[in-house]
Amino acid sequence: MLFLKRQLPLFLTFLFGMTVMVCYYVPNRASDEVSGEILKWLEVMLAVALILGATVLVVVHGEQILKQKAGWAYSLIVIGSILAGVALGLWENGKEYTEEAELTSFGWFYFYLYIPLNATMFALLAFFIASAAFRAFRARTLAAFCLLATAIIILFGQAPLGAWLWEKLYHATGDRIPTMADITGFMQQVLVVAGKRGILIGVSLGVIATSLRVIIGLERGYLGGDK
Amino acid sequence: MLDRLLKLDRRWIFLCIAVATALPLIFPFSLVRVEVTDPTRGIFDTIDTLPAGSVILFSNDYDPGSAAELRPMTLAILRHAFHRKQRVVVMTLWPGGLALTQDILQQMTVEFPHLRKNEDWAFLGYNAGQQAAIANMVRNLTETYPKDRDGMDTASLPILVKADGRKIESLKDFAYVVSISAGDPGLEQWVIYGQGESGCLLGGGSTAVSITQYLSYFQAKQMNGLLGGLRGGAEYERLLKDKYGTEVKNAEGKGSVGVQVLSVDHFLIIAFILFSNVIYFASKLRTAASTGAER
Repeated sequence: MLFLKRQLPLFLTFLFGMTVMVCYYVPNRASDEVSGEILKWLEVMLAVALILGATVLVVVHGEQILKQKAGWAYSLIVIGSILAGVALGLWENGKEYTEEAELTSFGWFYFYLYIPLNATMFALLAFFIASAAFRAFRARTLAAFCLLATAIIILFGQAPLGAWLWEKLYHATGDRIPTMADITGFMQQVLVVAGKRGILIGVSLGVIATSLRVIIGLERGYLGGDK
Repeated sequence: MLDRLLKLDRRWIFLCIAVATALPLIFPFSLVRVEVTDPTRGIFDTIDTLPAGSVILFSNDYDPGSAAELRPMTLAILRHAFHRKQRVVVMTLWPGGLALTQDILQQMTVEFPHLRKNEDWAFLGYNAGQQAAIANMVRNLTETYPKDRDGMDTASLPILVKADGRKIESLKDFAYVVSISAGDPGLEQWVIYGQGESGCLLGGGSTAVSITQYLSYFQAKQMNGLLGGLRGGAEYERLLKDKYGTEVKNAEGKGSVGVQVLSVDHFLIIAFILFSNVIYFASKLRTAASTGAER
């Protein structure tokens, strides 16, 4: 069992990790074909992972229902929705529209249940952001003040009405102040991008280091810890 | 009184936002014209200068949660491309985006009745391969998508033959690649695995909250255009309307209406922030004054 749980995964990780890396750095027809084949396998595995994910979801929620744990009714809705979606999808052959451009039952399920529910979840963000802005955006410290000032400038500048009002002010002062596009542009394209680039470089170096550790078997967290 | 205001019931805030959002949607108005930024102009100019018959790959990588923000820019770009008689191959890397994309294409066929399926547009459907799918498309398109959404052999689609008779075999053969994305897999993967590997011309759009993440790619010229959120859609619609007027049906779409809602909401949030800070400092001053008086 140790071979299947530990040695085989470590060997496969090393084999495929090194193969893809060598193929990338030694470009020729043969290496291109090998890495292309591995990518195809990866594509298939990612699709299988979706099925695995859905299966795990059903198993976990099924257990909740069978043991009648707290909130089991929600689990029932989850499983019911999954099964209804899959059944309708199979029934309609995955099509949302008929040849005559009419909605199928699967299309109805998607457009009148999934879209409103999904969109509602995200629409709620506007309310929570406004509430959080009122409660949390207070200039308690210098850092908080800087964050607050930046947020107000960006909110003001990104709204066409704000940019229009600033333009009036800009002309009223005889073009002696920077335009709103200059201000928000500087903040977003210089200050923010500088920070983002720093983070991106740091993350990329971290990814390279972690990938190498995974390939050579030093990092084994993905095997389920040291159990 | 000040303490009560500081602890204002959040339902009042919710009510204000609901009214501020609903009113401009029910009674649309056009306060001011949205100013067009360079990243938006990048995509518009590219599509505007591509010759008729060019084949564009359009990846619609979002689900209904982000549709309010991203659908206006999607429609505006597609209207522009179809008006310019370009051909568009559409795909999605998001399972929730499949029917959404189908719906968008349905709308396009109504707005542009002359469009011929598989010749002027084609829908390859959803691919679960995420970044692996993009990396595979760099090598071979038809191996990544052997069948289109309707189960037809992709290799037999007439849209995949360029005007000069050469076949489109991989990502670099497309005249332009556009990804409208709300996260992963999306624009970042298209830059890393698509543009970085094939050198294809890439543009895209994203939600406003993620746009700064992609600005570095735009600055590095790995992308030649970038649309940000509802405002990006409104900017594109303005360019479309300014150049083509009523020639393009619905050129001024929901982006232009939505951005006015955005204006009102932004000002309301600014008012909330300022109001809460005024109360906060007034409360602090009063506390300091009463502490001083007790001493």
